[in-house]
Amino acid sequence: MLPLGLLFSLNVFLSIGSSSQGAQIIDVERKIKILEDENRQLTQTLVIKTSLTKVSERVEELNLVRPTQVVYLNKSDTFAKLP
Amino acid sequence: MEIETRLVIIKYLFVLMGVVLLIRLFYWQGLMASELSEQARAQHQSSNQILAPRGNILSQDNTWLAASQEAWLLFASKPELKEDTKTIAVKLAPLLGEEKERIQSLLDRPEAVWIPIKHKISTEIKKNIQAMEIAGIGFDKQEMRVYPEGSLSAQLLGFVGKDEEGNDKGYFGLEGQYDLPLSGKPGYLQREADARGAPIIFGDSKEISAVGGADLVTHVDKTIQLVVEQKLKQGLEKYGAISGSAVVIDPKTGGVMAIASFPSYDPFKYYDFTDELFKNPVISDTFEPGSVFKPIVMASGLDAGVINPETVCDICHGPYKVDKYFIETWDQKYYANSTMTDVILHSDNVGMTYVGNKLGAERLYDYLDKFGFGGLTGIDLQGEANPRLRKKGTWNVVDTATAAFGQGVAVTPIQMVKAIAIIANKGMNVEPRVVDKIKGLGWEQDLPQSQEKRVISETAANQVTKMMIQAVKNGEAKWAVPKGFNVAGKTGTAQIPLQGHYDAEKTNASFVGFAPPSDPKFVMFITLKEPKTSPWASETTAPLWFSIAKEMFPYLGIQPGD
Repeated sequence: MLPLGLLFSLNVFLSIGSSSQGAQIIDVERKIKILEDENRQLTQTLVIKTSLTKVSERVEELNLVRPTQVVYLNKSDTFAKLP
Repeated sequence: MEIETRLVIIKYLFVLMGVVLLIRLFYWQGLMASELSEQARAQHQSSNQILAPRGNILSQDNTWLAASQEAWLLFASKPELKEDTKTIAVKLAPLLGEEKERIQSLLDRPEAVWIPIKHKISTEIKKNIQAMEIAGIGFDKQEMRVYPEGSLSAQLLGFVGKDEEGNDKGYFGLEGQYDLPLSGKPGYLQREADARGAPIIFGDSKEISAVGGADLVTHVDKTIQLVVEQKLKQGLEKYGAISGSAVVIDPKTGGVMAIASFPSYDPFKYYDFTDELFKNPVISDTFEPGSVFKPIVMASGLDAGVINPETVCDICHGPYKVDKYFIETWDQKYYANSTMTDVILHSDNVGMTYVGNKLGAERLYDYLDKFGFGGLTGIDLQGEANPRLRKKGTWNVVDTATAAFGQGVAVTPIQMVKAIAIIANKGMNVEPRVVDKIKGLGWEQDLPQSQEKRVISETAANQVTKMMIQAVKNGEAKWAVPKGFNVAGKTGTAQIPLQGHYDAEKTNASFVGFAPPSDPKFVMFITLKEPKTSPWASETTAPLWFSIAKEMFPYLGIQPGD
């Protein structure tokens, strides 16, 4: 009778254990999904924000202008030369 | 009632109950067995497809040229609809940008149960629809291709359409050429679950991991690409050309820094454009190059040792007769005793005929073959054209003479830029490549670079480079050169062949060049088809080339005098 009781208890214990582990897995998977979604959102924002076309349009909206003349300096000796 | 009668009634009642029980058992265990098993399996076993996103196409700074984003399929489950179809259509139409009649006709489709309404809607639109809480309207996860730069480099990238089975498939450009590595392989997860859907630890489970598509890291420089596209578009309008192309490559690696053509299309809405626009003219359009071809033939002559920069042309004093034809210069001016440098400087057809004669047909053919004409450049883009050279051994004197100044041969812009890049690369072979490396999660693979192969000697390359510097400094387009900068270049104005003769009015204008000549950072080729303001390259493509180069000089750290 005792072994049967032990077996029954073990069975109940294992069932509860596996059930709670299953719930943990679901919880971890849910968290992974949330992180994946956040990651995807951030990537989507990056994709849009790094668009040069969009930046150029914004530059025009802000009335920023390109330099009309670039001044080139003669290549001179290096600064802070060693003695 | 007597006790016997009661017993009989109870007996029959038990028998009846037994029969009913048997019938019920037969119903559940016999007739309904398979359906119930199915329901139990559905409850115990959850199965999901794991989506594999398509790889991204990145520029050289690892920002996006094409990216995959989450999208949704909007569907209606007809048995669950609670509102009438007209009301639903009116609600959905403004959000989807569709006509309500079309949505209603979809929803009213007879015998349909599950109706897809619109593919690939964004998450934002999905949220707006969800907020309306329309019963029977649902979403399935999909993937959408986005091109953050819009139509920028459309013909380089290609687009993603559908194959015969309705799966995503890349067409044209990089999407077509690298469809296999870009495409992911979806996975599958099946496992036993309890009534709440939580997995049973000791239950059966089967998982096939999804393999996401690999990312392509290209040599494309978005800054240069943007400048080239903007300037080319302006150039087309300014000079009234019907189309135009530009390509910029790094002569040391063959890496394609920019490719642009107009007219173009929007890869996000490819279905709104005609098929002709999908081809990339830089790799698929063939044309007679005209004078931009002269440095190639001159370099061949120098490498073969049949001429040197100071060799005097003894036929350059006037039109030169070849067979029954007269070879003339483009401006009818003739320079007796021109040196080879003068020949390039004046873009002298007679002088080039002289070089062609010195080389001879066989040797000229061999050099053109070595420069890559008549064959594929091997660029990693779908749809490269391969205009053949006339078969070796069949070239007559006229063919040799005309080929020497770029007539009677057909080339593609990519072949042309490759050949000039060989000169810029001190005579070493250059293979144009768009993709630098392919990378996935935790791995990266460099793609093979150009084979180390010498096409012409370094001396010959340097000699022809000096001639091209002179052609820019003192040639017809000298007015367009930014002050103080050294550029090796050559204009080309080619008549357009038309059913056995040349069109008297129309031309293709081209300019090819590289800078700085001593240590070239880029080679750029531009061609405009039928410019209206002037037929001459010196007045169209040359100033356009320099207006782009002017923007690139500070960006690439090129200074006056370099």
